Amino acid sequence: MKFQIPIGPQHPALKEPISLRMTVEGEVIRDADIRLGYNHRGVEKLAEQKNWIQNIYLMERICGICSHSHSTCYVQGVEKLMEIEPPRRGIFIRYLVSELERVHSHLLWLGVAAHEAGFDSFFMYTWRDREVVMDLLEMISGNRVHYAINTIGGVRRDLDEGQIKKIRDGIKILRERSEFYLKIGSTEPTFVGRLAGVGYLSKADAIALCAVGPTTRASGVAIDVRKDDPHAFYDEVPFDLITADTCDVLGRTVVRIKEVLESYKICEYIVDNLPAGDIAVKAPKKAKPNEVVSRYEAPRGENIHYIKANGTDKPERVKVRAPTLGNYAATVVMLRNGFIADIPLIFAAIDPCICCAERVVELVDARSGEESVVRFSDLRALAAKRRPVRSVKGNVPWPL
Amino acid sequence: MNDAQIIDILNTRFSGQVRDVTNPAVRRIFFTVEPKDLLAVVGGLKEAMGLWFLSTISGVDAGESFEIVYHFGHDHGNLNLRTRIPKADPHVESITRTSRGDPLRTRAPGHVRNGHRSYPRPASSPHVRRLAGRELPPPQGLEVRAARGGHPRR
Repeated sequence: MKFQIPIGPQHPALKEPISLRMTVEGEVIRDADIRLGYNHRGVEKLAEQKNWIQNIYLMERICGICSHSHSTCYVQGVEKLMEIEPPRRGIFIRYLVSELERVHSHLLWLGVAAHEAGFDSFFMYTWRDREVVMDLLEMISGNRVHYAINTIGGVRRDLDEGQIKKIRDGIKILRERSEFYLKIGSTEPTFVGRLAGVGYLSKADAIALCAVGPTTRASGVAIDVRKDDPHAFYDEVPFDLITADTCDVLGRTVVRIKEVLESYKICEYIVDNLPAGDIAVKAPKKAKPNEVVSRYEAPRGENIHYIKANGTDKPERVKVRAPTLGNYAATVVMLRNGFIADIPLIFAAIDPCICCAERVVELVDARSGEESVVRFSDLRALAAKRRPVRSVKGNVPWPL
Repeated sequence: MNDAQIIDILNTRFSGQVRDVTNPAVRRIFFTVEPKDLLAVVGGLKEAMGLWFLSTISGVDAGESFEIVYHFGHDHGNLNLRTRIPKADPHVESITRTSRGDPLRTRAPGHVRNGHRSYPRPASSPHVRRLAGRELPPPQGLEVRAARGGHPRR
């Protein structure tokens, strides 16, 4: 007998709102339905009202984990639109932050996966070591999350010799620890036993459903924007494209740990070959009418920004496709024929960032089925209606 | 294959269907097709160039019409197919006939809809039926895993 189990949109196991409806037969998932649209931040519309520089900070706030991915994808697109080339030193520093961000994102994910698998000591180890890379990012940019290092035409902060030494020392520690994690992740019997065979996604399905990032590379598809469509300096950097052929959560774990090791190689290449010179060039205030597609390999997969300029100091259109969206279709396939107990693990294995991927354009009343488009003025009116202007705090009686 | 060769394929193989081919940056090619030719061109590109990876679809409000841009990723370049549909009748044929895709939208017809509904198709479409009948890995029940020597609770 089949029946449906709703998970979310608000659920203790979910960090962000999303609705998963599982059609189950006993404890086996026969079908899955992912319902989106519980967030709307209006990022794309807001971008049309801000100038090219202001948008860097807006784009950075699309995601709290891969903030640099979105700002980099945006600025490299705008630089193409403005036909400016950042200095090589600026490029090296920009992508140093990118690779360190990849390390922190993958270590974060590894901890989450370990937690979902019931291996909480592993979670604590990885998150402890993630502090090393967070400290490096804070040292380079001044911030732990929103680095604000990008600007159009380069970066905003330079590196000195003392910082380079600290980066080298940090990478040395991280590499040693990551090799240990690779050993644990691929050999520890309980961990491997929990992950192997879970969330199967065949190579054919990964291709057909246009999955991205480590999710698709763990299904044996060698796809990575840094290799396929090399931007900046990635065509000269020696690093390997990591794939796995187990097509399961174990493969996704191993791919991410090995990618971290590749990121260390890239970081070392950057600090060893950091060119002298300026870190940024002056950018014009306006961009000529044109359009650009910017692709960037974020930790979760391909990030894409489509930017259209109309000759003013603001974009006419900015479209952001976060990697999580590219993986939702494949997640449905991964969940099918799995077990209810595997749901958190399978869903976590795509490293979902739900708020990054949400774009609501139309609301449907669940009761009446009526469809409507809500404009900003409507939202304001609704907010005013629900929360009328109240008296100031000083006049409110003390509740206790 | 370089940009010039891709443009050559577009102009020769799809002459009459593809127009306004531009190459504003290296590896970035934009071209326009009429909505009626959309399926033929997408299917033809898949055959001619193995263009299987659809990065995303963008929509631009272009006054009296909507401009829909299909962003295809490819080893040799990025092809951006553009088509325009009138606002009065904002419908375009789904490309799921040529590129299998979004099972999300297909089974969720009446809820808060997502702006990324790449492949708007009714749940009764042949595509969805084909998706449902696809070959899947065999179910692995507890007893199967236990027989293989795996822990029955994993």
